[in-house]
Amino acid sequence: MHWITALFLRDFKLAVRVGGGALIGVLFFLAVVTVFPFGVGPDLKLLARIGSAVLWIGALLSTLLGLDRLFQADRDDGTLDLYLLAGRPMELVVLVKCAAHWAATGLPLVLATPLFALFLNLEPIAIGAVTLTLVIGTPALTLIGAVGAGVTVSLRRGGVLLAILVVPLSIPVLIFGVSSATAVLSATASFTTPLLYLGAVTLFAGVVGPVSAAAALRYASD
Amino acid sequence: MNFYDLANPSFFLRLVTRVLPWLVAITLLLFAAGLYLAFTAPQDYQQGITVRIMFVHVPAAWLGMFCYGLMAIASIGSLVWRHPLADVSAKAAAPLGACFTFLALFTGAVWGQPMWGTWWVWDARLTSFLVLFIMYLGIIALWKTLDDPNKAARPIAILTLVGALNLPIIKFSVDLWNTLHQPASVFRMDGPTIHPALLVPLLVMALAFTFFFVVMHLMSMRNEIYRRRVRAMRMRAAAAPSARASLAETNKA
Amino acid sequence: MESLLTDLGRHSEYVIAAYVMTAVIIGVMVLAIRLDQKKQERDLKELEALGLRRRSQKKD
Repeated sequence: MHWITALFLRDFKLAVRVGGGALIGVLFFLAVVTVFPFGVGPDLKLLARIGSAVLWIGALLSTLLGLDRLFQADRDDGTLDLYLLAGRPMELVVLVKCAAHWAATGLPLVLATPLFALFLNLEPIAIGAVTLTLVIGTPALTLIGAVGAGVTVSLRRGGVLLAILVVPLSIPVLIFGVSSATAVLSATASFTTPLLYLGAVTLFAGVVGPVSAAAALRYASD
Repeated sequence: MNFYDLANPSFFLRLVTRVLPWLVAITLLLFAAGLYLAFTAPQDYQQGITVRIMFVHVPAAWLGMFCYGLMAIASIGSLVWRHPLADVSAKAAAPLGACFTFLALFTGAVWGQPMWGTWWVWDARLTSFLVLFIMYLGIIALWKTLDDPNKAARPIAILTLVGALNLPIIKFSVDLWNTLHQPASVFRMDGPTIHPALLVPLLVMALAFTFFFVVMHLMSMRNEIYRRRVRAMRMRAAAAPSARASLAETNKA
Repeated sequence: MESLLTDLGRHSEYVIAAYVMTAVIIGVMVLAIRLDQKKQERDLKELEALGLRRRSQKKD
């Protein structure tokens, strides 16, 4: 088995098994979606209008919640040092770890979205749009979050600080994602323009995230 | 004197002690001149008296951005040359930048209320500044949380640089977001073009703020160098308590 | 002072608020940095009184 496949499977299995905590994210997502109507009122028309935004914010918060597990365990048991000693390109290691993390925490969010969208009275086309934008956008959140996770890896309890550091960096993802998802309900707004920008941000994060996170992890180890 | 002398903390401290009084004097003169000009400048026929807010708002905003630029350059310095003085510079700049950004947000709000009838709009410029402010606070929090300043410098430098990449993207994305969400823009955020009679006091005030920033930054860097020395000495004392005791003995004798 | 007061017309409270906040922020910055400086200098003196030196420091 190629080492990339091995690394991906190892991280994925560790995340979804007992104690990995990957599915906590979906539960949190459900909690956020449930709590929103209590805040804004049960008006179904209003919920249909803001539903896509609620789902996006829920997905963002759930992603932030799981980020501190991205490198923490590997640093604690010394696996991170082994990756460095083995001479593997750290950028690639980070990218594979992000992919596994996304498959374990981000993908369940995307899969749960159509179901949770029903609570928010979303139209079928809006459900499709918000799911599609989340498929494209949540990898960007994980990749950007990797920078914060790499920078705070040496902190004992860096979870909240990590979220504060990552939120400003994830604003463009949120803007393009929600713009695209809500555009299907409007007659004038363009759906594809923000969607393409969202894709661009994800690709950009795919480069900047692993490179900066890898640099931060190298400094954290020496 | 060469570059390496300048990069030596002890030399840097001597330099600061020598130039600081001059810089303070220049700052005070510039502030006196700037305030005089600001309050004798003619009123803008559209904005009336509120145009005077511009004389503190624009310099504060300028320094809020300048300070982040300085931190980004210092971050490159600490990543590429691994120089402690670059770390010190970046760390000392963060609280100052946060202060100026807060000031820009506050003065912007009290300018906006009489001019546009609202304290805040989710306009690209204001939103980027709010994000900039949050980024400053995050960086300051990170400096406070990571206890070893030598280990903290490089991860924070990486975060600072990623933030610098992020700011133009935010500006762009909020611009796009605004065109999508605000059908007809009520506000013209650029304001009217600046009359030369107002430009001179503005430039003097901007210069005064910049000199003030330089003074604060140098003093704050000096404090940080002292703090690291205190830390290093305490750690040496803790590592060798017996040596400390004997040293104290010889001092008494 | 009188000419200044007559000059301030409508919306003067906003201008005053802006300048007062500027003064406060500048004051806080100066004060915080000066206090920090005092503290660091006191700590350094204390440690030097204990006979501690930095490695690079020359004996005088």
